[in-house]
Amino acid sequence: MPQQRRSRIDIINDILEAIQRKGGKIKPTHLMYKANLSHKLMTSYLEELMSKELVQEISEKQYRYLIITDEGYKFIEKFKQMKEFKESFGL
Amino acid sequence: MLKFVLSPRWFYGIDTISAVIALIITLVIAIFSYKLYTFCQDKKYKYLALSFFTLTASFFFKLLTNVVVYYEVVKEKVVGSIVLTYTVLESSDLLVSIGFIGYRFLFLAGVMGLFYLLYQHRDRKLFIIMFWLILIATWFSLSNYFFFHATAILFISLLFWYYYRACKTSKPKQVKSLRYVMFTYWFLALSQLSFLFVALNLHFYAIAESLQLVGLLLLLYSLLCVFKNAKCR
Repeated sequence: MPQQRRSRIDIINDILEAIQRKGGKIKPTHLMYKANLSHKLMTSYLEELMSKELVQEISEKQYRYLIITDEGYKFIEKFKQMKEFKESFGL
Repeated sequence: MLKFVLSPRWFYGIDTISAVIALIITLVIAIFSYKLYTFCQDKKYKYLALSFFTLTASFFFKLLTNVVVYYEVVKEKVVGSIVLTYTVLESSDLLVSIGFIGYRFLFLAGVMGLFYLLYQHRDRKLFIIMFWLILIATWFSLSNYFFFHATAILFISLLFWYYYRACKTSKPKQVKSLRYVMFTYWFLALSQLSFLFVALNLHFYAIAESLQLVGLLLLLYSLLCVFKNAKCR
């Protein structure tokens, strides 16, 4: 069965969940693979996520990391509610 | 000429509580759905919120009608004057009429909205025809309440059918949650069916109200399951 194309909100959730699965902190390169995105796409999404304060960028031992914020966790929870609601109400 | 169907005396007050609960449940779902719309900008949630807000408004009208009817009864007892009682009845009649018409039209509009959303009809001509149907049903229900309840049964049965089909084609995990919503419409359809027999026996009114309450409580339960399952996901 062909896979459905991910929507914008699906991709944002995938990025946030990838960070969450790594304990809330991830290197940008790892994120690119985990979220299955091209470099160009990921950069544009990260800009948006940072402007909305869903993720933050930090530097540790010369490495760049992305961490998920409280707002990011709230987004994941809301997304799960949305998915569950969609399934339960047959939308 | 309007025909009002009143509840049995022992049920006075209980149906008001039932209407309050119905109002709260539909409002909660409408608000939650609207919040999801602001979250993801998916129009489905906007239309769902709109349909449930319409149902909330219909229950608000029903509640108003109940309060007005009870006001009329109490006034008769306290005053005990023929002339005064007559005056109160006149004004109450108008309010009750507005309440009944508002309730019937908005209830049908709400279920029509759900039908339109779930069956994914994007044809405006169909929308106009359905809107005309509920207008006519509301108008004819002024002389006979049968038209209102029969139209409501039609729409609610189609909603039930949608969820029945969805249960048949969905994954087992999803079926469990879909079933609650399916049974909501099952109970709501039965409730409207019971309303049809009120002329034979007033107790059917109590049965219909109870069935409606059970259905809406099931809907609330499925919403609570959404929150619970989202945490476990």
